[in-house]
Amino acid sequence: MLRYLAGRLLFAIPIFLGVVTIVFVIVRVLPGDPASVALGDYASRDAVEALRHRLGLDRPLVVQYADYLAGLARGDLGQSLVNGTPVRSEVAHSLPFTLQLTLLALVLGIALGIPGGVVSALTRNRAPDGLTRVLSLVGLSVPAYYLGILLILLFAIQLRVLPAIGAGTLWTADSVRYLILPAGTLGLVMAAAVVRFTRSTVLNTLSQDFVRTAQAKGLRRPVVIAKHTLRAALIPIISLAGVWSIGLIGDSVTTEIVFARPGLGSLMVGAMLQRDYTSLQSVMVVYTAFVIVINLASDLLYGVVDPRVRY
Amino acid sequence: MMKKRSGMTRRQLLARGAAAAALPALTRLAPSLGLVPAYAAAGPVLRFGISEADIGTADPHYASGTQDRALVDMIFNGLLRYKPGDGTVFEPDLAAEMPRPAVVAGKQVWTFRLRRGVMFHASERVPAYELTSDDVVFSLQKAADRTRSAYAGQYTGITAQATDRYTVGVIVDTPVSQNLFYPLVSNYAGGFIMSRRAVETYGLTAVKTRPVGTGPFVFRAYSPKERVELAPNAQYFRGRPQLGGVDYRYVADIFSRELGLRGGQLDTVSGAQDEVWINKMQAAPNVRVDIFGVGESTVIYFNQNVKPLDRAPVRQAIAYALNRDEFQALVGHKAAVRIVAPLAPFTAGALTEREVESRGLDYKTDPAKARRLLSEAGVTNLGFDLVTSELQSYRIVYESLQAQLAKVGIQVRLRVVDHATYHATIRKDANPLVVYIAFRPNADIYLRSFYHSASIVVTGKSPDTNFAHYAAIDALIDRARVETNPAAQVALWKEAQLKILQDAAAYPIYYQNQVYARTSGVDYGHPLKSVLALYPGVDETTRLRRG
Repeated sequence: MLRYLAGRLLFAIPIFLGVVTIVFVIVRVLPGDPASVALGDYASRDAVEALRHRLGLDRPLVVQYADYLAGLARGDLGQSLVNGTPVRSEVAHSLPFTLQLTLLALVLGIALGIPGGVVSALTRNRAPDGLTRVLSLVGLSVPAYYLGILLILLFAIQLRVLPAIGAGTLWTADSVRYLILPAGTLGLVMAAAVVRFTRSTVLNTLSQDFVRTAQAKGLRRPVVIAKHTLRAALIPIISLAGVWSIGLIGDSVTTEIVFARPGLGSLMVGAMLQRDYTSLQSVMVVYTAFVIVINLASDLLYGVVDPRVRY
Repeated sequence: MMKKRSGMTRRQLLARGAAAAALPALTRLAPSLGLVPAYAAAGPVLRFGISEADIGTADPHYASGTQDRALVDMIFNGLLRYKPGDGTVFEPDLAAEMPRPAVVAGKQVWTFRLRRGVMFHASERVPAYELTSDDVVFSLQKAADRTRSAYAGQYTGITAQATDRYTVGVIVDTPVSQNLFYPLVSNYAGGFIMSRRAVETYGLTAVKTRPVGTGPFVFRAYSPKERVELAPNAQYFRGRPQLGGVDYRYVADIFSRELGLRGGQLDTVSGAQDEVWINKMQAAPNVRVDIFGVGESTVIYFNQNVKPLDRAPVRQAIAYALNRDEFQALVGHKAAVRIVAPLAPFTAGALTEREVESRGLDYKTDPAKARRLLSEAGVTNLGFDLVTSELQSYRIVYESLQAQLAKVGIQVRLRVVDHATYHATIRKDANPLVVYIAFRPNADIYLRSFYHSASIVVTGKSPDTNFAHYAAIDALIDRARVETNPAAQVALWKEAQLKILQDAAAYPIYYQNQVYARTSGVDYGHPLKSVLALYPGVDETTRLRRG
């Protein structure tokens, strides 16, 4: 197990470096210059050049890249090119908001999706199954940002029971109110995918020999479902939770924008608009790290829930 | 045994335990759920939603985005100020009275006597202290230094000297009129007065997010991509602000700002400059919409560096093919006002519509004339590849331009790029026809940056925004700058504009006013006519009543 883990971590290093390099190059290939964006269209060429020099943007790309890698090795993500704030503090400020959002959405997605899928499978071709399938199809078809707007219109504007935008103060009761709609948005979208996958997995498991054997032995149906069918069906579901989590992180970008929440998504979009290379690179680095860690965790989890898998 | 001793079942014990554990959490949740009254704040805090993703800089000498101009306006003062809500009137700010110029050894000297007892805000490492001439001299020197200011070009040939603790002389090498001088020392761009001690203590980088000024609001905290919190300045020289502070939130998406306002999370938001949005918000309950200047002019520049646009008849043909009413219909009449000359009507030196029309320089739509001019010029199969910004305000103009020119046989192929890319592209001289939306504080800056040969993109002496590659009115612009008689100066600016129109260097379309929406409980404290900082102006007189 440890050997496997070490191997995977070693393998993650070139992937990480590759992504970092690609991001470094891409953000610099984009037209638009942080100094010009920062100074606006009033500024003279002299002022722009002076700022470019102060920010180190007039140095050769290779030198900037080497500096950046050296900083990364020290855990230094650099300073925002636009407002000079240490990017590490920007990321540290934003990360908890994104984690809060995606974790709650993940819990909601699984809590709604797995029971929904099981019910759908057990009532195959009957009304509950039809309803669940239609709802999940709608959930899969509606983009997260659009669903978010619909939820805001209903709960914040019409019913006025929840706030439309913002995040409140992190880790306080206040923040829970602000979290319900965005996390609900992401959770519902994810639940739609979980429902469909769970349904097909449970249906597949129900037709397996061991389930038929359990039924033939005279076990009660709830026991067959809970102990035999669900346990086996959960294995692929859990392994896919990693993939869904990565999808959630992607959807969280648009959700943070719609709900005007701080977070890594807002940080990334803002950095992109302001051509803030260092902030943009750093957010991408954090996202990359997320994906690597989640993939690794889901691989390891797969071994935990499936006794046939050995590392 | 346990059941007997405690007198309850295991299930009851678990339930009570869970309840006990949940109690503290519920207690914290209760106020936000409306179960118990929340602790009342000292005063109402204005929650202001602005249209950008984040702060750019709170160093006023670099602030250029609307989100930054509005922020620094609440924190800093100038020697003079634009009257709140009316950007056409100047009045003393940190100066005790309006200055009068004197000529000393061929140079113009404007003497400012400072108000006494004006205090800079206290910050972590710099305690509050009284503003003196030392800070004023420092600030003007900083504004004129290209390594410490984006506006240095406007302060060339201007120096400041402290006569005593409360008197400053501003020396202008080449005398200028008050039209051009007052904006340089007012509460806008390089005219803001910064704390010398704060800048020197925190450094140029840190002051971008740690502003220290003398204004009605004190910087309290900055949360990246989220908000800046401002507290009322109890020692403000015009009196303590009536607001309990300003929660200045960065909400880039217009729909999110709108929902925030209607949902009660925001009190004031920057809006969209189009009639559809204005009508929608005016119909919303408990919402007021403010439309005010200063307007940003939308103008099409004809790039004379691209053939056949180097020939005046071709440019004139394009102008005759265009229709201002069609352009204006895209944004409606509530926020947009059509213009027929480069300078918008609120600018000193602007031409009146009659002055332009009487000379036939308004280029009234005439497709037949456009075709005839093109034919006479021997131009056939004319077409342009243009890049447009993704921003709606730009895109709709380009799309309408494409449709209008198609009617006279000119083909326009459009490519949409993001806004930063658009700016980079047009500054590389890549667009034959350039749409540009801008406000400039006076005629000299406007004409100089868009029509002076020194400002020609890429090849100019100091490349700026002369997208037309126009070089026919340098002498007029230069003469107007040093003309100290305001009336004669205005005449020169008018002459320069007539020449621009004769040469069809550009096609002015409309200017669009600022649009903000607020709840009916917000009272800015002044009528809104025009504000240079492009926001309604929040100061010590602004009040908020939450219903």
